[in-house]
Amino acid sequence: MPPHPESPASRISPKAKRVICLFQSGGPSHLDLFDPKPELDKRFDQDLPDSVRRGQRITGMVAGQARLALQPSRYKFSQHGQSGLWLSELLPNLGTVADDLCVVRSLHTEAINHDPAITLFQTGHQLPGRPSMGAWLDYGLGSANADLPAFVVMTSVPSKGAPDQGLLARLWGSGFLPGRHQGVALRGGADPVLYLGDPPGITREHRRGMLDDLVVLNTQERERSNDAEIDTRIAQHEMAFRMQTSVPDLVDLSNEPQSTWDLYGEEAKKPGTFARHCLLARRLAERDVRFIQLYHRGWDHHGGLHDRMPVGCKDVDQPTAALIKDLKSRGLLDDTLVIFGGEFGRTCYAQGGANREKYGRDHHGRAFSIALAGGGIKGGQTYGATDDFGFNITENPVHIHDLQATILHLLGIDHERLTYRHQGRQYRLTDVHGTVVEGVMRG
Amino acid sequence: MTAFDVPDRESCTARRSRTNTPLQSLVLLNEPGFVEAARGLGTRLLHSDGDDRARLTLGFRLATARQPTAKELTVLEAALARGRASFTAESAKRYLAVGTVPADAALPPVELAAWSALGSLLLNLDATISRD
Repeated sequence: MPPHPESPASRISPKAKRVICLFQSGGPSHLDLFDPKPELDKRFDQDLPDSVRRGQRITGMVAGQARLALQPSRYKFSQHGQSGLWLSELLPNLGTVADDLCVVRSLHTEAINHDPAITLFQTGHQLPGRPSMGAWLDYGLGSANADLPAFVVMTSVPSKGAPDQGLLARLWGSGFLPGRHQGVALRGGADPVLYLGDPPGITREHRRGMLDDLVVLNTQERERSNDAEIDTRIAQHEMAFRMQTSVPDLVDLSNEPQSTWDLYGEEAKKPGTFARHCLLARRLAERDVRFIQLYHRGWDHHGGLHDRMPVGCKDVDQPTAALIKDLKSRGLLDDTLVIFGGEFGRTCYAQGGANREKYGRDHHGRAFSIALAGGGIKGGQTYGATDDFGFNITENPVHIHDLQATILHLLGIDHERLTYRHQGRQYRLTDVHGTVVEGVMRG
Repeated sequence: MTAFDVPDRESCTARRSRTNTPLQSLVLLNEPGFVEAARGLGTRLLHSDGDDRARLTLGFRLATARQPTAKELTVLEAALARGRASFTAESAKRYLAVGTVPADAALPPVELAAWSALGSLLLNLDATISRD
């Protein structure tokens, strides 16, 4: 449905039609990926100065430590692309799309633990109950594809090691918005959407005939009762029927040429992997699905970062770069906003003792990084800066709400005007906060 | 249940939102529990007295708490005929195996499958699933 002329969606000219959010759940360390800090090398194992910490609360996990010892990254950083973007050696493939990336180094959140932090990222509030970003976008813009849900979710776990924190369906829920705006999870197994397949013995023709009967009977009911909601129900039955064809078509990769597998990597051949989901994300983008939400778990590297980070990066680096290149070569990157990042970053001090090779980091929300590409984003730059410790922001802070305001803006929505009345007041994704960040957008 | 707007209990919900989504359709049509329930309804109707029309009328009344109109009965008769034509002995057997409750072995499989599919239709009517 097109937005009403006076709606918040009509005043701003949209740059993006779709969003692909590649959410890295657990909080990947910005210090080992995006924000190099040679000072930490020089100050290895020294105490975190109070002048830097400035009273930042620490979690219960390090509260018992005698010291907060500074921990450099063991990974080498180098520059990539014409823009000279700094990336760690763990992201070589992202390096090949460096000029498409805008790395925001000054993202920040008040949340200190995972669930409130992810909830804040997805819904604009640390406490659950509010609609997710995808739900807001579906509410504001509607679907661009009549045969598929407008908000699709895929989750994956690390190829090795514990996945750690789970993900709750409310993270892609509709909150107080009508239920039809909730995300639909695409699954790895035989039924990509729950109960998509007809029961054994029911042919396609039989199912079609039954739905035709439902249309007739429900229409007669509608005439009798004058209940407009019946029209919606009829429409949703039809959508379900179309999904029974469109979803298998979406996940049928048999026509993909070898070049696809070369680009995304062999892992993409396995259902349920992040690589596979990135490929599906491209196919969803081709079909104009509005909000495509991926989650990759297992980034909560309190310990064993040296073991776990390479695994996580191997899972996500090539597919993410592949997705960006793939979208670009199909002319989709310009109007598809790609987001890569987690709910917070990690501390510049070690959890446990500092060690040149083997270490862990605790949660850090006061300053961390996120990478953006496509959809009106100005690539080939970093935005914002942190101090020598990657602890505090020194330049251009971007709060989660600012990021959300910017995402909505890129899709043509004024974040202050897309509201919904609930419990006596107007609510919006950014609640009473958020400023659009002009600096990350193309002029 | 989240597909059916169950309140998530994160905040006070005075009025439950009423929406219709394709996911709900898929559950009502394809979820094994509902397929089994439809078979239960079909079995009950086959065990009841009277001809096709009498049984269809009973089924409609059980589902919607009112008598079907002549038009509605015609649609149901056509649906039953479609089921009888659509199932083979083999596909009926597969359809009747869904769920955990065994199908009534005394009833002819194709006939029971047709009535079960009819039961599924009745259980999917808006009049059945919506409360005014």
